[in-house]
Amino acid sequence: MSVGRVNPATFKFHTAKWLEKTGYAPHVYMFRNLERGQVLYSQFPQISPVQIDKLFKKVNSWDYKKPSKRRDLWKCMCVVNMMDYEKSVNLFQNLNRLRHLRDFTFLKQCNDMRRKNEDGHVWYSGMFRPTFSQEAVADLRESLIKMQESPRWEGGQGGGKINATIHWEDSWRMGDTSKYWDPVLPNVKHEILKITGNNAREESTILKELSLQTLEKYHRDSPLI
Amino acid sequence: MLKLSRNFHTRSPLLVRTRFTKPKPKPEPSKNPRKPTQTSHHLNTLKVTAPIPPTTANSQFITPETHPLWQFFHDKKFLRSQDELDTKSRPWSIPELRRKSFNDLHSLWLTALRERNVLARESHLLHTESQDPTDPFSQVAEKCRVTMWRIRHVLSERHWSYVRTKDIVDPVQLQEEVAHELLQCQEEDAFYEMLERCQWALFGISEVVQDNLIDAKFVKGVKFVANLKLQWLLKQRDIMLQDEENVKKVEKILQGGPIEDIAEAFVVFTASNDVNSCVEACDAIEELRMDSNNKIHRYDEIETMSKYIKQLKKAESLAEPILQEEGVKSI
Repeated sequence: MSVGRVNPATFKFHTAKWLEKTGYAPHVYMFRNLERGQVLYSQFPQISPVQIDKLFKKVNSWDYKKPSKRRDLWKCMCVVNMMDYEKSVNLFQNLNRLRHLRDFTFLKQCNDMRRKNEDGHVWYSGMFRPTFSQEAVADLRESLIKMQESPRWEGGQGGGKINATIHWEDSWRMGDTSKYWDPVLPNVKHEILKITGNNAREESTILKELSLQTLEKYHRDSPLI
Repeated sequence: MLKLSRNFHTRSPLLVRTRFTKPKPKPEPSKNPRKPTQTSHHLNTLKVTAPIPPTTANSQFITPETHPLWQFFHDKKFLRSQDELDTKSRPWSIPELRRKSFNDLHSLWLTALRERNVLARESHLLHTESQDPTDPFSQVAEKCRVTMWRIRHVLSERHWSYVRTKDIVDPVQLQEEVAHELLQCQEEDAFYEMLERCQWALFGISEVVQDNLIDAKFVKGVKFVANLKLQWLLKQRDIMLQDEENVKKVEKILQGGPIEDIAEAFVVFTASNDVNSCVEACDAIEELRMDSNNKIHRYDEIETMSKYIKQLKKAESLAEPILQEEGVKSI
């Protein structure tokens, strides 16, 4: 199937240095599949078939299918602005690692935590399973908490606070902030993407505008870089 | 040198023995080795956690009042109870609707349409929640639907009556009949209201002068309305024109028959709907008649009116910002 023009940069992993040199923002993008509810992590404001092949490695089964590569079925779920290229790359790697853990290493534990229907299957409606996007939100939270605790980052060992801004598609998907986010990640700000009008058409422009704003702030705060 | 032994070409390479030759030494490590490009690595402390369910509990993000989808909810309620539903209502009857103006019917249609949207949503919810065959929402929706087709029916009646009478009725005769009927009116407010409706119905002249298209019909309409205004004042002289001087002024204007000059007619036409303004308009006509150059030839009527209306629009557009500034200052 033809997937149209894609950004060739998305075909492989890129380092913090490359991202900074090439002019990308220190963002991590999460795209949600409208058909099946699976979530794709990306360093770029686009998705590509190569990324889908790389991230969804699990073998197709009755209750798990590799998502479609159609671009119109992928919608931006959230944009995580880390304000630091190293941190954004680390977050991206953490998310990918957690996906691997969920799909292979801790498959059973992961499956136990999923909500089931009366037949004992993971809850679904048609092809759609909402658990995938809920797990992605949980993974994002877990990654940020572990980064906060890690000695690798400034003020680690549990004493530091990760400064990040998460731009959500809507306030509904992020979960209860007072329960899941604010107690453990007090410095993480949550914002809602202001979408008015045709989102499918405007999404790329919104993401581009968001990147430009982040880059402007980044260069203002660190002019020597 | 002369070669004493001869072999086939394929054999000579085979004779080269490699098995017991000394292996090559390893190359020395580079003094300036290339650094690995990827230095970062995922954390090893990551653990799989339970999925985070979505919620509407985030108080900082409330659906705004202006959200267009609220139009599908009655008073922001998910589902109305049966008591809140107006089950004793009935659809509008056709005779009732016949008495309504087009604007009333239009707003009624919109109201019914919005209510049907709300009811359709609620009915759908009820249907998915329970298999109860009695659905009060769709019963009320049916009443709305009946009202809507009746509105269409009434509009259709009006349209066909207009189409059929358009060719039968003589417009001049119609104007005479309308004028006769209007002159019988004895209440001031009722007269002016009827006059406005009549100018719209017969000549298509809007209340806002600038919105009109200036053509022969408009000119004719202006003259008709101006004459009717003065004739009515004269007819109701005992009630309206209590002063004898005012009566004389109006009589003088209509002495030589109805007003034919467009400038004169326009002065009366634009005068406010009260006695004093009409008498002032009569004074203005007197002044106009003093100079014979003020008379507009009937071939120049449309052109002159168009120019005048254009000037009026220009003056208004200039005055608007000034008025707004004054408004701001006064605030």
